[in-house]
Amino acid sequence: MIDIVIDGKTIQAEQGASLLQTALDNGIDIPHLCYHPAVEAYGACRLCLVEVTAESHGRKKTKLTTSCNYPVLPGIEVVTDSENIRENRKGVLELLIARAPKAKRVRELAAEYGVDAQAYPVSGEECILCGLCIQVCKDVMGVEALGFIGRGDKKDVGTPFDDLSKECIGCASCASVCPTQCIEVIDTADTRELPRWRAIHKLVRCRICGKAVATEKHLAHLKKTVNMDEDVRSVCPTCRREFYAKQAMAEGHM
Amino acid sequence: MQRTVDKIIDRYGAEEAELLAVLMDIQAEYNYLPRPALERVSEVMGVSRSRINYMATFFSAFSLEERGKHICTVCMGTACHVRGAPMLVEEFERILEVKAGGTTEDMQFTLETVNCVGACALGPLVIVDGEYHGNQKSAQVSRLVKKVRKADAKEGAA
Repeated sequence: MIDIVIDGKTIQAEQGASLLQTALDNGIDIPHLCYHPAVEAYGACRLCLVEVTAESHGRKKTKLTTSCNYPVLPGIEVVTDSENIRENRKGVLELLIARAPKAKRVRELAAEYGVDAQAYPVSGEECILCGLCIQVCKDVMGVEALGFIGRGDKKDVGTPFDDLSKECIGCASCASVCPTQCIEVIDTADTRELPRWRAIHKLVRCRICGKAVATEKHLAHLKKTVNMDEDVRSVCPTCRREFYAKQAMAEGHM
Repeated sequence: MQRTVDKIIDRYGAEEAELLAVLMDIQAEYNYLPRPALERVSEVMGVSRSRINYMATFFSAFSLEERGKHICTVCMGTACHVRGAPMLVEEFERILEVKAGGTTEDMQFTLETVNCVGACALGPLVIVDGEYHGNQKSAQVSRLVKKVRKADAKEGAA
């Protein structure tokens, strides 16, 4: 553990950890959209800008940088709010609101920073192309059903070759991490649809209580990756807990 | 197709780092990147389809759609642009009866535009089947097309 200074306060932090995460852990709020502790910081949304003063070659230098992918280093001093930072975040938000005017979170942040006039041509999108869904799909789920497509103003996120995804398992992890909540998941009695990825999955219901557990493909994926009793894998979390509680009681742990 | 693709992969090895080289050779072989070929690359090289699709759509040199036998590329870089490249595109579009980016119905010609090929002093530039033609005027476009058609006819007769 080393000492760093954030907004004048000395904070104990782990060297090499994400600066943004360290600040958040210490109750210092830095606005961010695309950061998620489960995956490596990608620095796409550019909102978590802070000023870092560090010594290099015997001279102290202050620079504006994204905090999510900036490591905690000995002796750094961090400012999370200043005129300069707010001005730059405002610039970032002007771009984000033009890209995703329908996204609630982006609108809230824009209002907070007083961005109203749209400085750039507006698209009707909600996705800010941060790629968090892609990362979670690949690095957390180990599926790689999603990827970027194209580049520049035509860049998009989607399934390969733009057709019904072979790889998607319908776990909806992408939807749960999406900072702008633009990935819709529609569950019906026995199907789950992810219209953005053009995927329709069969839902499996809990053997005991009948509640939806997960998609067929998701359970098959779990079978390969998680060591779990066949009996409990296909029941819902509530019934699973009950099963294990009963088992523990029978074995006299409780 | 499978064997052709496997042979191409053998040239470079199945490392992910070689993906770009493999895709370039596949495109050289078929003039575009056919879906089955990419599926095979994914299978053999163990690279996800998402990753291949990203690379194939990232570079404008790659095409996922079948292209014509002959590829006409008009440079639309700044230097060529100010020297009248848009007129060359219009002329091609008129003669080939196809919009830029499209392929003629008989699958003979694909018309493409590119933003600078690095030969600005020769602008405006037209590249036909890899051959560079500098200082082009729109009147010369029909000659270029005719030349290709003639060569084809000769080949067909032989």
